[in-house]
Amino acid sequence: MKKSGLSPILNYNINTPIVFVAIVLFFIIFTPNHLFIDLRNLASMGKLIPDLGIVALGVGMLMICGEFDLSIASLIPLCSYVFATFLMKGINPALALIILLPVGAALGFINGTIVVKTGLPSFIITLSTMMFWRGVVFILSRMAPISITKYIKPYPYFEKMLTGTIGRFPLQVIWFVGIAIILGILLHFTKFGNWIFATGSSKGAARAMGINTNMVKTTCYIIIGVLCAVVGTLQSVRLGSFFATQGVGFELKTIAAAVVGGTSLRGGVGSMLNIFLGILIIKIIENGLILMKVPVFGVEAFIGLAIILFVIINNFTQRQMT
Amino acid sequence: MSSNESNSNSKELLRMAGINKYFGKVHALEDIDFKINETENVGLVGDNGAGKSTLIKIISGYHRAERGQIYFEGKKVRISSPKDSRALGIETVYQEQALAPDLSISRNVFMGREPATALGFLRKRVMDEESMDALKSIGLQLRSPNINISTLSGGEKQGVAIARAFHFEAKLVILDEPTMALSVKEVREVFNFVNQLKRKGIAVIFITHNLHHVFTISDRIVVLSHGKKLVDIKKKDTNVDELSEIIVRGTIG
Amino acid sequence: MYISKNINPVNTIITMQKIQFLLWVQVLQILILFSKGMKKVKKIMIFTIAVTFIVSMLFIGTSTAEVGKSAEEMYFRLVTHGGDDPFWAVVAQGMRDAAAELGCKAEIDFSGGDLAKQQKAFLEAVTSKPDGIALVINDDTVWDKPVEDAIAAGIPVIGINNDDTKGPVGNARLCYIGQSERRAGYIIATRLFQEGEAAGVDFATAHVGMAAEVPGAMYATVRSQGVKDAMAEYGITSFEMIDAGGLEATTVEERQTAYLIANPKTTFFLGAGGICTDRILSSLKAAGLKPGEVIAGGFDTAPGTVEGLKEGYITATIDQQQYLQGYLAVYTLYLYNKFGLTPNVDTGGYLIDTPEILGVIEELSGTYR
Repeated sequence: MKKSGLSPILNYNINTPIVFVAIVLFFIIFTPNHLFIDLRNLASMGKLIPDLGIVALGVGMLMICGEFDLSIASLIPLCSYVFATFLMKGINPALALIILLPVGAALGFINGTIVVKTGLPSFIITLSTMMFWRGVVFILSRMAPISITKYIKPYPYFEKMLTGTIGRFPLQVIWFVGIAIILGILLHFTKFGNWIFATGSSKGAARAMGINTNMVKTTCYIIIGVLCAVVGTLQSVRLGSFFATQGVGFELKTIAAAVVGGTSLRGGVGSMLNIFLGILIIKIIENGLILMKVPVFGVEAFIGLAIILFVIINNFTQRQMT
Repeated sequence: MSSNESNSNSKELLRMAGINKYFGKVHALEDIDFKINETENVGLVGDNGAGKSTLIKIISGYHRAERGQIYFEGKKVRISSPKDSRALGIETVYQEQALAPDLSISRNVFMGREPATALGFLRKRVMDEESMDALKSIGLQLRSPNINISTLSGGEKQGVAIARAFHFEAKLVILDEPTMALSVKEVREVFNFVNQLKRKGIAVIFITHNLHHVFTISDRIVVLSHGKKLVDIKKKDTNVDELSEIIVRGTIG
Repeated sequence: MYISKNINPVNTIITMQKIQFLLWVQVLQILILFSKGMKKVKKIMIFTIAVTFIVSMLFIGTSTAEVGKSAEEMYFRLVTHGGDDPFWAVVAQGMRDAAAELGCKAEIDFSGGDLAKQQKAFLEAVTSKPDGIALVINDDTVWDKPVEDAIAAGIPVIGINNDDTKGPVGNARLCYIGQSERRAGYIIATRLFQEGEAAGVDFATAHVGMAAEVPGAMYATVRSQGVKDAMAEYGITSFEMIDAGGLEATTVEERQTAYLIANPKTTFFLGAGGICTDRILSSLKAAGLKPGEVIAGGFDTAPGTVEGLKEGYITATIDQQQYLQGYLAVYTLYLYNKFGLTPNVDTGGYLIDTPEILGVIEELSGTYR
């Protein structure tokens, strides 16, 4: 069998960082007045990308172990709603967040349990749970936004820690990068991480070798649930309110980000670093196109094209490696 | 034509007596007596539905027999799960299921049994070194422990699976159709690996449809048909044509 | 679906008593029937039971009708295309409050923008024989026949929230309660331009940016038409519609910020809907702008919009008073049933731009406005 270059040895998809550097350079050079590098733009991106990014990291990891989770789009507003409710009841926001984490974990656990017990495609199952929870959020909130600024005001440290800035540098970036590092270490350097890859690459082999694949998958879902709780809180603190429409569209954007980051839809292949870069790539393209004054309806079309392109390229090089 | 004498040079390793297995109403295995000694290589032959996979699944812990006893190294044992089986020193190499195509050799060899620190961090260096050692022990030369399984040939893949069994100090290795869909050259490679196992004192149960393969590699041949043991005979006491005649007729002649 | 829980208990009890009496009579007859064994008597018994049964059914049926319906016995349906945003929660609240006051029943249907689903809901509403239907007429042709048929069948139909572009000429609805979207767009734009005039803006070179959650949707197109009407009066020619990327707040903020950074010449910035307007404050700040550098405004009173008004980044916003759309819909249908009245009411275009009004709005934000 042909073995090409470094890639198969490292099993690391070099494409993603190359593309990342390429588009960053592209937009630095070609945006009018190099606005891409404008500090305001970087600060805005740093503040807002982590909303999608933090959850996308978890979704990507789950895809490596061979499953999907679309319900994140509804878990985020649900967790945000619960957070707002806690605040309205007078609970300290930091405490509210701490209580919210196991709530998110429980939601993830439900997803995971249904998936492993029924053995049905997780795409469909989490699509249903997504619709279910969104319905719940709509009914509970009557679709009305809940302003939470007044509940946060007495706790300036909380707000600063979550959504503050050091100079212009938004702290959300630290949370995003920090979570990426933790998940990356878990995925690539631990026993459990090996189980994730094994489960995704060949569930049969993993089970034959004694790995509890059900536990592995459920744990990944739980991790996603916790991340949804984090993002739900981060988002509503930054927005100053809870909106029932939070998270809309995230279900597909996170998958797209993971795929652009070289994660295989079949499982077993992926890298946390690349997922991280994949998220950035998608968001940078969106941002850069607007800065370049692409016409209104063009932005979505371009993003779609870009994603297709990356999937094809990744697939092609993946084949070259095997 | 059955022979129950053990090879006088080696001790009994595994003995199954009176094994009966039912799947609902289907009597999959009927009063099976099966024995294998240390360093012996037994070929398990039979057509589809004969009960070969059921028998080895009982040995490797996936199924439990309704009746019968199992003795390992002279002691009566209960094998209720793959873990029990592995704990005894029995390693099973399944045809396709043993290896994850997207993982490296090193990660595959240690799948599920990764050497790790207390916190769960992989000891990569240990994994890499030991997996390469295991490959060498069975005579398989590969460039690096980090190459993907999917880049290996069929024969090399079997080699990795066998090396894994070897590494975990198996006393008995069960090979389920290891030469299926392999080229002539690759089959030869697999035979070399299997012989290495024998040289290291590991007993082997070799399952196949292919009588020629069985004759090349095994010391003794056991034929199953419709859940019953047809023949248990030493290789030197028979030949391919005779054996295939027996199988086709399905009776003890 | 939101159902008014206030049903007048007295009426219910009276009707129940009537039913109980008749049932007892029939039970008695059945007992007599089975106690005597004579065939002739049996036939007479059966005949009497049957007659009593039929009469009692008519009795119950007509007893409620002949009195002339009170509000407590009325049932209204609102068939809308809403669902996905806080706007409709307020409409529903208005409906609920009116129904509670009148003591009648009212229900609201949401179809989330799906026209086919809404049509189905309308037909279901008709079959439930309500005392009136309030329909969001969001299409010029599709509703013509259904409304006509419903009215012919004796069910009054009024339009709310959206109207046929040709009004009463285009559709048989009895009257319309709602906001004129085009006029609303005109009002908010004019207000912003007035602000610009006071600040000495050069209208010849001014640029208007309008961010819409769903740029192709009717609300965005019609409101922007109103904006362009105002632009024509002030001699502004440069306009751009921005795709804010949907209802998701973070995406909206990303895109608005990027646009503002990329288009420093923007003089006026509008949000076509509630979410976009809510995010204007953050977007302006993230783009490094100070209050008043870009004159901004939009629609509805989401929390961020209220903040923006207070901090001076947003000049004004339009409150659609959609509460009234739900509230007046119920009252109008009730009054039509009672007296045959059909008022046309423009509920919208309420400009919020002073701290006093703001104080009131803030209190009610999210529930009543």
